Amino acid sequence: MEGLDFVVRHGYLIVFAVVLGEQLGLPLLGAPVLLGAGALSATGRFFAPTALGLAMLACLVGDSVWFQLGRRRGASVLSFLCKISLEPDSCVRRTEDTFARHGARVLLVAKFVPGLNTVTPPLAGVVGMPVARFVRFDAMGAFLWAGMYLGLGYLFSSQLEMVAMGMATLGRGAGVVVAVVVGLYLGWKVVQRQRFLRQHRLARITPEELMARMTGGEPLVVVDLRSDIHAGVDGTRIPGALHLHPDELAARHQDIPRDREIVLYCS
Amino acid sequence: VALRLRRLGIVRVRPLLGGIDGWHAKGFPVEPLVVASLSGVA
Repeated sequence: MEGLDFVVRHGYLIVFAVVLGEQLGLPLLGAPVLLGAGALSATGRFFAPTALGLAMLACLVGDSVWFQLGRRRGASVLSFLCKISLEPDSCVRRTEDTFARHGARVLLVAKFVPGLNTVTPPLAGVVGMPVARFVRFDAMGAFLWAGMYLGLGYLFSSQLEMVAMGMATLGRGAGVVVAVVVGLYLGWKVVQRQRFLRQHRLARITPEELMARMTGGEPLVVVDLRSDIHAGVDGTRIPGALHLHPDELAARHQDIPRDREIVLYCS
Repeated sequence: VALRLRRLGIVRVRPLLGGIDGWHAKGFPVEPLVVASLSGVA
């Protein structure tokens, strides 16, 4: 019961701090804390509405920071997020595509999807969503997310206490197993990222070289691979570039002449 | 993406260093681009 006691003692502060930290992008997990708070509410050691309110407030504060960053700094915030992401190839693009398709409703589900969670608020800022609309949808999303985990914790409080006791009995062993699994996963991601960066670095062309060759009249093909959102926010392209969605590549790669050099760019 | 193109048989592929941001930073020319699917998002 160590874990639950810890939550009881520092109570609401933990709920607020962990959720806020998670929303800001720290590797914290709000869901288990909310589950614990829900379970404790069932036995009267916690007041669920307060926990829900605090969790929602933490979400709104953390997400608003990213939202404002997105509004003010635009696409560079996304590039930064992409750089620190462990999946630079797909992280932001996947989010952008989802956003373009579903608009503000993405905010309702983003908290449930690990990859979407951190990227959605700044993206809402980048595409210029009005503040009131953002706050409304983000609050609803926070309500759904925090409410669900608190509710589940409330409903399954006795089972959760059993799990907590089981963990306490297994003690350090269980902790070590979890740590090793997480460590292996992160290690694998880092290796993948290194490999990706190495291959990517291979044959990059500098802007100067491309410019020189374009003005020299060389038959180059420039392909713009930015998502619609990125390209739309920027509103410009390198002269003559072919704007192509990466998913269209398989279908449209016949359009790309084989006998010329291809220069790809994103943001 | 460059790797996927290579797999499709397009060998002479080179990513632009720094992307469009790098291009902008050098002050090289661009032309306007309108993306239709964006309207209605915000």
